[in-house]
Amino acid sequence: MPTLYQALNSWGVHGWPADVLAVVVPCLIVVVVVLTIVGFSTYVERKVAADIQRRIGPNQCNVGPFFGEFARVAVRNGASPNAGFSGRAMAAVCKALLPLLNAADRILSRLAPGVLIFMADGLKLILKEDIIPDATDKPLFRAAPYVVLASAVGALAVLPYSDAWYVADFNIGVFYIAAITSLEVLGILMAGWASNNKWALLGGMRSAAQIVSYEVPVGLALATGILICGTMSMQGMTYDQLGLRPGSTWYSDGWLWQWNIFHPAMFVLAPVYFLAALAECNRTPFDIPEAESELVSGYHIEYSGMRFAIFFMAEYTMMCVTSAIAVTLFLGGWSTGIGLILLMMWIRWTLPRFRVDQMMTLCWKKLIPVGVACFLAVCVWLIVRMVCANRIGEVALERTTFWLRACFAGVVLGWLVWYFRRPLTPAEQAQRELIARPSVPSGAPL
Amino acid sequence: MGVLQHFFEHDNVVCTNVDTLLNLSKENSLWYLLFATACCGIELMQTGASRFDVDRFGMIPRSTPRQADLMIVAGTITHKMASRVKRLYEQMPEPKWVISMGSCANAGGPFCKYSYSVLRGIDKYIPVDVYIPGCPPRPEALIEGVFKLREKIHRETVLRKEG
Repeated sequence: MPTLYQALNSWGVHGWPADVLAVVVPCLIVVVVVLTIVGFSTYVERKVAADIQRRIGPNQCNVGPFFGEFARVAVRNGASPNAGFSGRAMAAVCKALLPLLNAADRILSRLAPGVLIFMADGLKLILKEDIIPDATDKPLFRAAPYVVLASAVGALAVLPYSDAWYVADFNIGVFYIAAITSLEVLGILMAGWASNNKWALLGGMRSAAQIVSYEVPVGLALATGILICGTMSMQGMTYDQLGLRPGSTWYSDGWLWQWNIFHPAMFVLAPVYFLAALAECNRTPFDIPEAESELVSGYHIEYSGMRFAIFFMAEYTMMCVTSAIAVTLFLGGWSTGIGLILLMMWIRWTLPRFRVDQMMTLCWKKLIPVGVACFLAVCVWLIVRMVCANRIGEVALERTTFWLRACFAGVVLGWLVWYFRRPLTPAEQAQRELIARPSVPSGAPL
Repeated sequence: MGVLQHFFEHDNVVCTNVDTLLNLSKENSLWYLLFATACCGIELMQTGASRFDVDRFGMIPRSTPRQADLMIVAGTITHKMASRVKRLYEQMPEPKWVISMGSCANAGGPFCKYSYSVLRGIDKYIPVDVYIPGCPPRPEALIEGVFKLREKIHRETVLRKEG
C-alpha cells in the first residue's frame, strides 16, 4: 500500500506541494469525518437517553421539515417577480433537489427520526451571542475551548482506522496519545480559572483532580498492553493481535483468542481501563466536574454559543478517542468496530453520580492496586516465558501459550453464553415483565 | 451584517432563504433554562419528562443561562425575585425568548388584588413573547405555547433590508 506521498509522486506532484498535500489532506479527512461522527453521536445519545427514560426523543427535525422546508421556501421565493439572478438560480437548484430530499425524508424519518437535530443545534450555537463576561481573564477564556478540543483531536492522528487508512504510525503512538489527551485538563483548568466564577473554578479543580488521578490506571493499562504486544505503535498493536507478523502460523493468525482481552491480565485490566476512560471523559458516573445539582454546569458555566459547542465536541471526540484506544488495546484493533460509545451512553443514563470521595476511593484504593498487580504479573510472566523459551524452544512455547489462551477464551465465552441463557429467578422474571410493559397504554389520550 | 446588506441590496430573495435556514435551526433547538418558582414548575418538569417529552422538538433543559435560548417563567414572581429573574434574562445570550407560563407570571394570578409582595406580571421587567393562561397550565398548553413561539421565530429576519 503506497503512502499518500508516494501516490502524489506517481501522479506527478513533487517537491513542497506534495509535502504539504500529504500532510494536510489526511488530517482534514480525519477531522471532518470524526467531527461528523461526533455530531451524529450527540443525536444517538439523545435517542439512547430517550429510550432509557421511555420517551420518544427528538423526532421532529427530519430532512423534510428542515432541508425540505428550506428548499420549498427557496423555490417559492425564486418565483417572485423581484427575484434576482442568484435567487432564481437557487430556486432552480432547489427545485431539482426536491424529489431527492423527499425520498431522503421518507427513508430517514423511518430509519433515524429527528436526525438533523445536531445540525440545528450546531447552526444555532454558531448564531448565538458570544458572551465574554467583564470579570474574566479574556485571553485564557478565549483560548480554553481550543486547548480542550486540540487535545482530543490531536489523538486522532495516530488512531488506526484500517491497515491502509491512518494519518501517522508513530513508534511511540501510545505514549503520544497518553501525553496529548492529558493536555485536556490544562484547557479545563484554564476555563475554570478564567471564568472568574466560583462554580466554574470548583468544576475545573475537581476535573484536574479527577483526570490526574485517573491518568494512573490508564497509564498502567497502556503499559501492560505495551509489554504484551512488544510495541508502542498503534498499528503494531493491531498487527500483533491479528497475528499479521512474518512467520505467523495457523494458530496465531487473527483468531478471536489472539485479542489482548483474552490475555488474563488484560482481561482484568479492560474494565479498569474502561472505568478510568469514563472518568477522563468526565462522563457520568464521573461527571463530578459538571455536576448540575452542585455546580450548575461546572467549568463551562460561563461559556455560550460556539465556545460551548467546542467544549461539547471535545467531550464527544474524547469518547471516540478513548473507545478507539480501548478497541486497539483489547479488542483486536480495526478488525472489530465495536461500539463502546454506546456502552458509555448506556452507563451515563443508567447510573447516578459518585461523590468526590467515592470517586477518589475507586481510583486510588481499587483500580490502581489492581492495575499494578496486573502489570507486575505480566512482567513476571514475560521473564518466565523467556526462561521457558530457552528450555523448550520457541515453537513449543508458542504452541503452549496458544492453547493456554484458547482455553481462557473458551472459558470466558462459555461463561458469557451461560450467563445469557441461565434460568431466571422469579425476581428477574418480574423485572423483565415490568420492562416489557409499555409506559403509555395504547389508546390512552396523551 | 452591513456588508451582506449591501451585497444583497437588489436581491433580497437570498436573504429570505438564509433566514429560513437559520430560523429553522433556531426553532428546532430551543434549549430552555431550568427556572421555576411555583406549581407551574411542576407542570414544566413533567412537560420535559417522559409522557410529554419536549425533547421531541429538540428542547432540552440547560442549567446555566449562558447556554439557554428560552426562559420559561413558571410561577409566582415576587418583587424580591423579579430582579433575579431580570439578571438571569440578561445573562442569556441573544437571540433569546421568554414564555410567561401561568396566571401568576402573566398578571399576578390569585395574588393580583391584595398581595403586597407579588409582581403583577413578569412583563413589567422583561419582554415576553408568549403568554400561556392557566393556573397552572397543563403540559399540553405549554407545548401549544412553544409552537406559537416557533411560529414567531419562523417569521424573524436576521438580514434586514434597509428602506
